[in-house]
Amino acid sequence: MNKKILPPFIFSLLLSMVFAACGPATYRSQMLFGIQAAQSRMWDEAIFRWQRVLEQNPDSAAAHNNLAVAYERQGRWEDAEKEYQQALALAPENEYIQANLKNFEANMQQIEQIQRPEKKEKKDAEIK
Amino acid sequence: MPRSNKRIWLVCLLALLNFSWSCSGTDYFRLRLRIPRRADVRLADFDGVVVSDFLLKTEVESFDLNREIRDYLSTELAVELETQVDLHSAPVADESVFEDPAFWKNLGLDKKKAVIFSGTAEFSEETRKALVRKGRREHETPFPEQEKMKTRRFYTLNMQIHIMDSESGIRLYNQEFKETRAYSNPNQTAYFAFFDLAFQIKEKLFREIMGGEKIQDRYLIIH
Repeated sequence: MNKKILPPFIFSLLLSMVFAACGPATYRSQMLFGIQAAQSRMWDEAIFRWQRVLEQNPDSAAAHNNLAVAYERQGRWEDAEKEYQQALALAPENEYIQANLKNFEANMQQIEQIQRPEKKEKKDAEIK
Repeated sequence: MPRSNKRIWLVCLLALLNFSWSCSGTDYFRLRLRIPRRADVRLADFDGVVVSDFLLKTEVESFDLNREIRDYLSTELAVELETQVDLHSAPVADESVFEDPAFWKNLGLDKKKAVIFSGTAEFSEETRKALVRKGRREHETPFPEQEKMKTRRFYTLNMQIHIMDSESGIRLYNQEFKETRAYSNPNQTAYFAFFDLAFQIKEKLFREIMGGEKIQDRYLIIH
């Protein structure tokens, strides 16, 4: 490689790396890392990454949504519901969050329908 | 502009493109996940599992439906839960018993906190006959089409499963299952059909009460 080109090449490469490490790119890299972890079924790692995103960007609807998916996968229903609600509150128009929440609520509703009469009976028995 | 400067700019431009490329891409990833289903009854919270008598809505002539259901359910539960399942005889007079906590509380079971499986069952069979005409084919012969009398035997098993807590007597779960199957074999026995139908009901019941997994799509998003 030409000696004159080498210094600016290294400089620009370093510059791009610095840019890559700063604010929005860190957010993106953490999000992507979490997604890659999720795709590899490493849900604890994915949760860790998205929680780090939320530490720096508490208003990230995407991080709340992704965390909700991870919690749902782990069977942490209450946590999942909380995260989905926060994600939707932050981005009410987001169709992907809406789709996820719709499926999640459909699953929950199915259980509620089965359990509802029993819950009532339990309450009645407790009152007696 | 000198040639060397042009190269420098070109390299800078490439670095910029590289940076901008790293910030672009798709907004979402679709994942097909195995979402765990919440178990309707937490069987792990109980000391034992008991299968009690079933209330039969109609008697079956060829076999003892109540005994077969009790045996089948207790065996399958024992295999699935890897635990001993006890049989207890407590004849159910009518359906109101399932809503009576005192009845289930005072069964006199060995284990203090057991989960009791009971319910109602109805097994029916029906024979349907129909004239079936063969489909017209090309170059059909001038002879009249043959019609054949076909017979199908339909068997239906309708079960209402109730699960009770022996400590409080409260009903924990209540769900109806209905399965029907048709057999072309005219010599099909009701006893054989019962096990086909009981298997289908067992699969659905276990999936509901023990959880399991459901495959669904979820979206992971970046922005």
